[in-house]
Amino acid sequence: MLGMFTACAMILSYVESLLPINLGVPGAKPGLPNVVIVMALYCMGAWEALGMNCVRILLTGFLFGSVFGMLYSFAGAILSFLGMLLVKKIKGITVLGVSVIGGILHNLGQLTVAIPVLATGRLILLAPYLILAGVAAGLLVGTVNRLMLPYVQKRMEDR
Amino acid sequence: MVWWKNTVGRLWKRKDLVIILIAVLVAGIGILFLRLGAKPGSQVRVSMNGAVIGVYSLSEETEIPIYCSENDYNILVLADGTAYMRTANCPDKLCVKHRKIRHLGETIVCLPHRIVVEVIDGTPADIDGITY
Repeated sequence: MLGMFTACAMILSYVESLLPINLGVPGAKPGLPNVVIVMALYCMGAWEALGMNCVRILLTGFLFGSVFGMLYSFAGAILSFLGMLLVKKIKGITVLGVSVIGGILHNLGQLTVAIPVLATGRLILLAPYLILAGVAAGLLVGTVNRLMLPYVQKRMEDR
Repeated sequence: MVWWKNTVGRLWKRKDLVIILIAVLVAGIGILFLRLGAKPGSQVRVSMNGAVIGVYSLSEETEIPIYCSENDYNILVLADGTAYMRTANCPDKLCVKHRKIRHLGETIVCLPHRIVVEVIDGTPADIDGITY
């Protein structure tokens, strides 16, 4: 099951890399694989989802991308994961809010790694745009999850 | 449009909206600050891997080829007081698609080639950060 989720995430990663970027900001991608990761978080548990994400990043990095790009992915993934874990505990919040936080932190995490690596503090200027991109991405991820989770969770219980 | 109401209920709850609005607000305020504080710069500094490899005046009209390795290049163009990347052979070409930069602090980054082009004002005490 985890394997299937991971494979889905990798495919989404690949599809995402085919899309022409819209923002002119290095790496601000829609974050499609996160749909699967958030879904795993809700269906299977935090450790499973985290492990799956790490495997996904490693495999995708070695197959399609660069070791360098992996660093960025990890930074974004870890920060967004921690944030989502915390936000999830708030009573009354749905996948949507969690995903939005995830999207924002994902982009900010990447920014945090880009600045030391490239040695420019000036990249901070990109922060507001990255936040907005994160919100948009989070909304997409959250809406898909919101619509699909009831069905997926039921199927998982049936097993 | 509301076929999901049977299984899901409302698409979002109030707390979700709070998060979204706060984020958008913070971003919006940030952008406001950026617009209001934009100052013209006088020079452009090019760094590769964090090391400065050239500083050029924005009033020049010239093309600067940058080689990060034997086969990987970017071509920076200075014209009309702006700087932009005319072409590059990196996989994503984000640097090429970027808009022209002219204000103090603006940057064009080529991530795969580890190249950063930033607008500075030439004073030796240039800090790597912004204070408004």
